[in-house]
Amino acid sequence: MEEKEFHVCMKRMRAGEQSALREIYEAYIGYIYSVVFQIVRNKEDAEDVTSEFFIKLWKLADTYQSRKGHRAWLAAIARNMAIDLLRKKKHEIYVEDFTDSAQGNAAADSVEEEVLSDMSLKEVLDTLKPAEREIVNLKILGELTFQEISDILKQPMGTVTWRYQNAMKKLRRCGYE
Amino acid sequence: MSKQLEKEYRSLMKEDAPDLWDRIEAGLEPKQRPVHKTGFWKKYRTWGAVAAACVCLMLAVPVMQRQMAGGGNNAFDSAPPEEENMSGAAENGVSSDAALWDADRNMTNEATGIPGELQEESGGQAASCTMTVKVLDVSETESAYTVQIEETDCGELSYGEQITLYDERIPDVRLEKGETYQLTVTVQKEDNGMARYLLEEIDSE
Repeated sequence: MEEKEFHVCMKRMRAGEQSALREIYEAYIGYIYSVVFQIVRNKEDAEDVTSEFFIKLWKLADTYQSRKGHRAWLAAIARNMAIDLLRKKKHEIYVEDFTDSAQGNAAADSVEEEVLSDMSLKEVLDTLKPAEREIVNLKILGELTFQEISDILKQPMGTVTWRYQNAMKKLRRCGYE
Repeated sequence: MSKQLEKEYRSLMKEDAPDLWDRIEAGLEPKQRPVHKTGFWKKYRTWGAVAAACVCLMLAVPVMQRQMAGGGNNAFDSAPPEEENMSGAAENGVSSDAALWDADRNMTNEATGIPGELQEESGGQAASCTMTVKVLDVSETESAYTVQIEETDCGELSYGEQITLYDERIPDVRLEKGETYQLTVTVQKEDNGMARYLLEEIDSE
């Protein structure tokens, strides 16, 4: 969805048109669900947060100001909502924690390399570390720049690009160039 | 990154995403559609303006017709002279109707600068003149005198003409038969067109 198209939808939502929200939903349900899921790591919670996100977007339309980079804006809202849910549930897995916790050992990596070529995309993506997966999500689905991803994740841009490159290496091994 | 990867990734994410629309739709609060006040007020403002214009016309037209019927005289123009006279009389410490009458008469004469100008009095028009007369006869009641004009600024009288003077305005005055007096006289036109001469003041004998 283009910036202008999104802006028009938000204006229509402000006027009470649910069909405009439906259009945004159709365009971004996969993106938002993916962003949320990477944080909550739980299907039910991801569904709850994603639903709440679109309901919140409906309300936000009343005060929405036209801006560039609506995908980054949407991702930031969705991500914050997911983190809020984690805090409410008193999860001890903070965003930084689960990025580190997924760092496997060297042995696992070598096994991984052997089987990667026979894996589907979904299976390959599942082998990505959560932090890598999140960046890939924002990059591919959100079409965000590294700077935007860096701003959303509150991580240095070098870290973001390095993690993204690692993810791409794994995908290339599976034949995705 | 290849386009193939992007495409597959997007379709994969879309497939993975659950259908949450029903849940979302159930959670949406209906928005109060903004009332188009501008349209509402625009409509009523127009009709209001039309109504106001009609009321103004209804009020203005009769007034204008009344003024035009009255020869174009402005109702506001007729009152002030009397008010000015009244205030002038009050300044001079003079009250009563006589003072007002004098003030009115003086003002009118001053305004025109013409002695003997016709003035409104009860029963007809009146003019004030000065004249020198010789008393020819005195009535039995001593309230009327037959006089002969020797000199006057009253246009309708001429030398040698005889008129009857009435002293009802200054009844205490007595003119002697055969004497000559300089007088101020008011010439009052009666409704039948006859002139009636009223003695106002004896200027000198």
